[in-house]
Amino acid sequence: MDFDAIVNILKAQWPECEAPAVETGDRFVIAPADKAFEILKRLKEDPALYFDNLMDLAGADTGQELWVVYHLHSLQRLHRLTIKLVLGREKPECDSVVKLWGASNFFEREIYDLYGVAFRGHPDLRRLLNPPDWVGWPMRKDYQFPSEYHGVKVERDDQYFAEHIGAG
Amino acid sequence: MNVSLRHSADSESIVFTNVDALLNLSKEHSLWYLLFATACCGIELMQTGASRFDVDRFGMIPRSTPRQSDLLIVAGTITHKMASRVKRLYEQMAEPKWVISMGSCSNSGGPFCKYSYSVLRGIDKYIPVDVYVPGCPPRPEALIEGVFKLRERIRTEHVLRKTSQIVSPRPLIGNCQ
Repeated sequence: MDFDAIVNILKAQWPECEAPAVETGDRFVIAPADKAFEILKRLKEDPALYFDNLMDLAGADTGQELWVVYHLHSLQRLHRLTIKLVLGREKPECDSVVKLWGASNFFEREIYDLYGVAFRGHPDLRRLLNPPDWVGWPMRKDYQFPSEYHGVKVERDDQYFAEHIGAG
Repeated sequence: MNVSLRHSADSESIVFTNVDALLNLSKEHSLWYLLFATACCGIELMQTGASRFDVDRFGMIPRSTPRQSDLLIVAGTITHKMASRVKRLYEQMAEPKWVISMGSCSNSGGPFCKYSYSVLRGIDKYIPVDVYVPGCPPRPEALIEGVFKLRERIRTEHVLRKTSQIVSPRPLIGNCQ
């Protein structure tokens, strides 16, 4: 099934779904975050769509808003789809899809670790890569470096040069 | 006959020496190192232990546990999360123990020095380091040269007679659990 046919199926049930035109790269669907779980559930369980494989689950920060991007693939139907959720920076939340694809468990923990997106219904939402007592969400554009961690100073090279040698 | 046993007599079966020289001789020829690697320096460390460079001929045998090791070669990038683990490994090693910091990452943070939030800027912020080996990664020859520098240092140590030549270990900072 090609992209437009999938988008028509989605738009028939959820008119809020958008499929903006892109200049380069693959097209994608922007889905409403509060209905993401039912949309993804339909995408997985509908026999005509049957996206049984979650290839990747990524986060992104555009500077204004946060994205959660699902890359779906159907091993049976041999088609792919990219779904994007757009979340606000203040309190980003969306539903966990661990019940649909078990592979999303660590992906969601990673996105929580690096972007601070809280996944409702996740069985074990802890930091994955950073230490448990780490402060902040490192992959956000407005992330500020910690000045120290456990008593050890985190000194950036450009800060060091600015203080000791001069900026430039 | 090693030069450090320089008090040897002409007789073939009797050697006159002092305890320091004998202990240092045995320590510097049995530097069992811990198999510990976190990044690409680990590949060079493996290569150093393999047949082409073969540090076995210097009495360096890789050990899989810190409790049997004399030498910790910190090979690779150390993040803040990993640093407390490295410190624990160091504390599990029995005295006497030495540390070689291998490569730019464990010396100073290396290529991650400028913008990384997660990489420790040098393992010497957590554990005392005896020899720094530069390189990204250092070739096995460079690591072996670092081992020779460490052996020179071991040769000058005094076990029974404390002198002012001994560098007191740097106080450990970083109160990690």
